[in-house]
Amino acid sequence: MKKILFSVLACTLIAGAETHDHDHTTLESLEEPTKHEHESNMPKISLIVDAGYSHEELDNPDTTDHLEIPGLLHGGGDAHEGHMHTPLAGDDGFKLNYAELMMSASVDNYFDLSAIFHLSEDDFEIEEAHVTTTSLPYSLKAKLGKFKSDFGYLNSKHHHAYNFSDMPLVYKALLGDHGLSETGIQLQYVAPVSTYVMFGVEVLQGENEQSFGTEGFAPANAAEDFDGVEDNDDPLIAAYIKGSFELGGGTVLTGVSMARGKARIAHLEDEEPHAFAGDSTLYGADLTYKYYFSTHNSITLQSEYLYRELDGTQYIPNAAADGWQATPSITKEQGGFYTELIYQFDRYYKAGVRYSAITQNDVTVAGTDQGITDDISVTSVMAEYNPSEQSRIRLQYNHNESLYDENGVKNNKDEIVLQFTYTIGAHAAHAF
Amino acid sequence: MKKILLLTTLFANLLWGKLHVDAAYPYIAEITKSIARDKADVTTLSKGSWDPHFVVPKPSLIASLRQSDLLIVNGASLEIGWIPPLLKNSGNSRIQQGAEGYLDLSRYMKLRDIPSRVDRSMGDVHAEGNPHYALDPHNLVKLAQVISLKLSQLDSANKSFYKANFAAFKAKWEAKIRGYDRAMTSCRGITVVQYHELYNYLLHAYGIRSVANLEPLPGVAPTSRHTVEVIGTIKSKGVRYILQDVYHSDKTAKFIAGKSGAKVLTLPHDVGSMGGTSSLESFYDTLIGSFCR
Repeated sequence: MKKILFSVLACTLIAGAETHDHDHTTLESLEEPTKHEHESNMPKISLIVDAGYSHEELDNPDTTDHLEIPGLLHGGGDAHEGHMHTPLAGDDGFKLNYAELMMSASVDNYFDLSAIFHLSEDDFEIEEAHVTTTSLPYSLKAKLGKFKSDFGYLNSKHHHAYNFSDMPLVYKALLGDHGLSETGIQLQYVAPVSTYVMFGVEVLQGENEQSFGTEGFAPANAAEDFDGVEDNDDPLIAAYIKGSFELGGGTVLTGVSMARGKARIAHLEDEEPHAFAGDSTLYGADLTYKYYFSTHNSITLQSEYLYRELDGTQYIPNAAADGWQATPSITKEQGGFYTELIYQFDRYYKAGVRYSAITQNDVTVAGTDQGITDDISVTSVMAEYNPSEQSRIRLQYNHNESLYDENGVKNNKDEIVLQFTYTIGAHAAHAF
Repeated sequence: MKKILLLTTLFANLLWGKLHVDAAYPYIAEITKSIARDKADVTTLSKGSWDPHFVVPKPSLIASLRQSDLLIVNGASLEIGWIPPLLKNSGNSRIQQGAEGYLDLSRYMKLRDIPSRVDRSMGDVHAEGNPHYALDPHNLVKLAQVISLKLSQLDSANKSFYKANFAAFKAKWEAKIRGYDRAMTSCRGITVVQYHELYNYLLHAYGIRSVANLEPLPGVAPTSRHTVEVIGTIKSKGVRYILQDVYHSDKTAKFIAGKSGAKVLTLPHDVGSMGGTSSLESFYDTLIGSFCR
């Protein structure tokens, strides 16, 4: 012990002695003065505008109002809980898809703040607003606020970073248009090993429109003393492991994820009012392989599988206002995947194909299997031209075999989408 | 006294082990290796043959950054598209921008082509100035000195080792550069065109004038109208070489060469960017040796 102390002391003395060396060159003295002050306190700001044109043709054009993805998603029209589902059909013509405003900067030497505002013609939405720690020990990183969960591969990505103009079917069906976008805290840890392995855990409010929810409900015409279903106070917990390594000259990125919480889904204002309360668990597995022939010439295979278990009680309001008409137990075991292949020809052109399907759609009410179809899929093909890093023109064709009318008759949809995406402001990082 | 020194070194090694250094580009890794030698493990984050503006932000690189004591970047926004997300995801507070383990070499360089205003309609212009300063071999010694001082700062126990290696580097390269200067004297005053403003520092050092670029704006692909203009410029100014990098298609350069009589010179831009450039020496030898033969 004494020896070590002594050597530390010696170390300090030697270091001290060496400062009196004849060479006084220091790093600071070698710096060149900059003509501009680039590191200002102004946050980085960028704005994305996404607009386009679409045209669709349905096998049976007369039933656009009541289309649904059976057991998973019914189309919009009716606003409920302050939001609207995107209509599943009947959305032709020119449109401003969205504008997205992003701001980020360091708060101090401990935190970075970033906020993303999602703007549509009539709506202002805080899509993300969070701080991230920058100086926690052991390569720990914490995030606090509203953010897109790192569950799975695609979930944390923003709309403009997708390789297609829309979300894959399985994501839309199980997580809705916004994915798992939640308020809460996230903690991530990169393991100190030579291969990238990251562990993450998130404690979230759990307010997803498709799979999770907190707010209790009661029928609109319920009696005063009728409590309905109470609010849920348990958080949604998400956890995942991700890894990345080199294989055969390309890069693999893979992960498994899980999210467990409570569900409260109230569609009480709908034509056929219904609601659900219970437990919900979501599982995900993803695999991405990218191979670069040269800087701007690459091929990417990206796949993801999602599976959900909902277990609880179904509520159908009673016109007599004395509670619920029937409250059978219900379980939903549903899963599906998407897989996409993207080829980047050069810096300007990219093309790809994507297939997404529901592979399991088991809905059981009061012990009886509802025999809901799993013949649900969407195939998409796209080609894009990027005149620069800040602009993109994309043409996409969808063959949608996911839609059924209220009588369970399939109504396929073919759709052409032309999409224009433009960015101004701060340079965004390239995605992997 | 010897015993104390030995103990000190031992203790330092126990505490810190070998320095783990991540270098954004191969040339940075090569300079660092010649200063640090066996005192550091150096990882190169990109490939020499890639477009330095568009390095793939591979998540597998995060593992190396997680362990890193020092990250050395070229700077002047050359890495803006790929280092920031990797750095953030590493969670390594020692190498975040502004930390002691983050070394931006551009801060020690006199940058050229600093625009008076920046607007995306001008193409991918870097507000800080042209980031390709490493193409001028005269900058090498200072880069090595900066790296050597940074290594000494992080690993003071080996300060004299780094200093001695820098002195050797300096002596060797000053001699080499004198040779380059002699070889390039016959080039002085000639005119060239280049695909991208990649070689400005080298051209400026040797009094070579670049009169046009094949890309109409930085980062924008050649257009037929602009190509016709370039052919006209080459004919009227008596341009001798078309400087082509390895990561853009040389189709336009060859077409222009066929129409104008100028010669296409495919030049390396980094260590390992083409055959026979696997070391710092062979890279600069190839670069300089391509001219005025």
